[in-house]
Amino acid sequence: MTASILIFAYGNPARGDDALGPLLADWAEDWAAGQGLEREIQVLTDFQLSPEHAYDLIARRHVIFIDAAREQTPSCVWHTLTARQPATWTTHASSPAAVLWFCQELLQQTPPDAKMLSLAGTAFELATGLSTTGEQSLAAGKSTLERYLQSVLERVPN
Amino acid sequence: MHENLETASSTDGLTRVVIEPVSRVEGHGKVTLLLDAQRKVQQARLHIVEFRGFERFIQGRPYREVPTLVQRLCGICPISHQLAASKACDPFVIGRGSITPTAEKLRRLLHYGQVLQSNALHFFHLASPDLLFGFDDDVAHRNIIGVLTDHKELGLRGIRIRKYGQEVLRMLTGKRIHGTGAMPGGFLSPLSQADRETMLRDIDIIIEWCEASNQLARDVFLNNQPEHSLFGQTESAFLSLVAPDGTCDLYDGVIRVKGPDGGIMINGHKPSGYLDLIREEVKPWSYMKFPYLAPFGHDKGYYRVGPLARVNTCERMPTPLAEAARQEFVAFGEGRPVQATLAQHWARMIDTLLCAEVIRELLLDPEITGRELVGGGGTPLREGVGIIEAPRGTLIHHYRLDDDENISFANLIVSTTHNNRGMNDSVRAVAAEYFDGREITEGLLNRIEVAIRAYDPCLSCATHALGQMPLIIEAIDEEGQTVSQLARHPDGQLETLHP
Repeated sequence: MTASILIFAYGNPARGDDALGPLLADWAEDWAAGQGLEREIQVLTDFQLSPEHAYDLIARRHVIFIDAAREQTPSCVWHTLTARQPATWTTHASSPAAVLWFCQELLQQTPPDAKMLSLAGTAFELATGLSTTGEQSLAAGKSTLERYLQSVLERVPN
Repeated sequence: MHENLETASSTDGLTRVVIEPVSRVEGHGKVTLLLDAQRKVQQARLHIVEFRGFERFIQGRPYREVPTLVQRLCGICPISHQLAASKACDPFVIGRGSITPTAEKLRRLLHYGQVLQSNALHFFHLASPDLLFGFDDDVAHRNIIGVLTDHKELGLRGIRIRKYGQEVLRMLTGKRIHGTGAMPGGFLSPLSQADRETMLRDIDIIIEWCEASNQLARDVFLNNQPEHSLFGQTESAFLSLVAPDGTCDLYDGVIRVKGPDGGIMINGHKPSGYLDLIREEVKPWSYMKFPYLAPFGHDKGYYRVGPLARVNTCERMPTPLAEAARQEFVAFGEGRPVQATLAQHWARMIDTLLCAEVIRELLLDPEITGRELVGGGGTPLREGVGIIEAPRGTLIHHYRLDDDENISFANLIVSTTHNNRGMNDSVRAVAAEYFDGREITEGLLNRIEVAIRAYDPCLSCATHALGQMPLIIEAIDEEGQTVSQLARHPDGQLETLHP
């Protein structure tokens, strides 16, 4: 059975603060397991988003995308996403809004309620650890995500 | 062929045109052109502007971590690095012995799934817009969205082929990324019967779609002659792994080099002796090195790798549909290797068809669900070389251990580095053919990118920064002053800027 909540983090763990998404995903997976919520919450990670990730959105009620962000002042920015057709295509990577659009327009599926959690980072070179900013963002991301998951789970029928 | 355009005799009075970053490739690169007053190209270069430093990054690490760590080199083909590293680290566990038959088959399944998904990404998402709509099509339409709008069935097939390859990786490694499949000395987990049946359920339709995609790539190339043969023209030798009997093999084998005249220049060369074969030249204007075949010197030692090389160097494909496709391809070459830059797309789809057929063969092999995944040991060694044919071509990992079994030396030659010279030569050919004396348009600039894109280069390693995709073209007068700028915004719109 498909979990109703999908947490989808992306980034490269070898690129300093670019690891913020995958690190928060690891935390979320442990948190869900600790709460006995593996059937309600699925956690996926990838280096980049691309069109085929639209298939992962099918039959979900909620999706939370998590990524590191450059040039972002607050540690953690949370906003609602809507499906948007990309104006063009210049890289291997896609955007969360485009993945929602692929789900809606190409797969003819209603995309889930979608949120974006952007975590501020400052260092994206090859490195095994987070910067000080990254550490703060990760901590802020954990509490924000936990609050959201708890509020959503209260509304999700058993 | 076009090395006279590598460095202009003098840069005085030349106009500089910059394409940065090159789009629809992985990573960050830029192209600079120097044009004289008559708009004739005097210099053309593809620069790789990011320094990876990954070899130093892994020095001092325990060798057992390396196959997992090196996956982070690349967001598109992490499994290729995992497999090359595992092969290179096998001698640290099993010496000169061989891994178990099941472990090798699982590694092969993983590898062919990886190449399948990466090739599908390149052909459908990145290259097909140029091939289906033409190089001068409106930039707002010439992309995967245009393909999905105008050719929805084709676009969705591409997405589903890639999705299938990714599912193969997930089932074998437990995760889409950072999973563990191959490891030094063998393979971590057996394949379950349920996962095997899941993969078998869809493989026939995947093969059918790959066959149709190969026919599409072939028809586009053949229906656009002579332009697609002459575009970005360069002439090189070709290097790839082949099985000892000359059959195409993406996972293991010996190094073969075929010359431009079709003659075999190197045959049966052991992977461990790659340093006898390859020298890397450094140029001050690029972080990426320029390899050549040492026994033949700089000029005759010019070679390329990748799907085009694989189809050109082998004597046969191991599966029927891919072999039939290869024979069609070889017939076009009339006894010589096919050199056309744009034939790489056709070759890539033969490669993709091969992957799908091999996946089916492996899944039907009873040994694929075996439980003996490690063993076959001998006396451990302290040095190892692992070579595979990654999606973009020959990938080399070479490691040495210190007394604490940590990595003391690492050397990686990635496929895109092998093709650095080829990409530069193709860029110069396009610049010389299309730019001389003409007004610069987006369509002309796109031709440069089409030439680079044909190699499917991976210019960096999965760093990503949303919204950082500018392209700025500057015209600089004889005094070095910027007289005009053309900017391409992230949404693809062009805007003329006035300084």
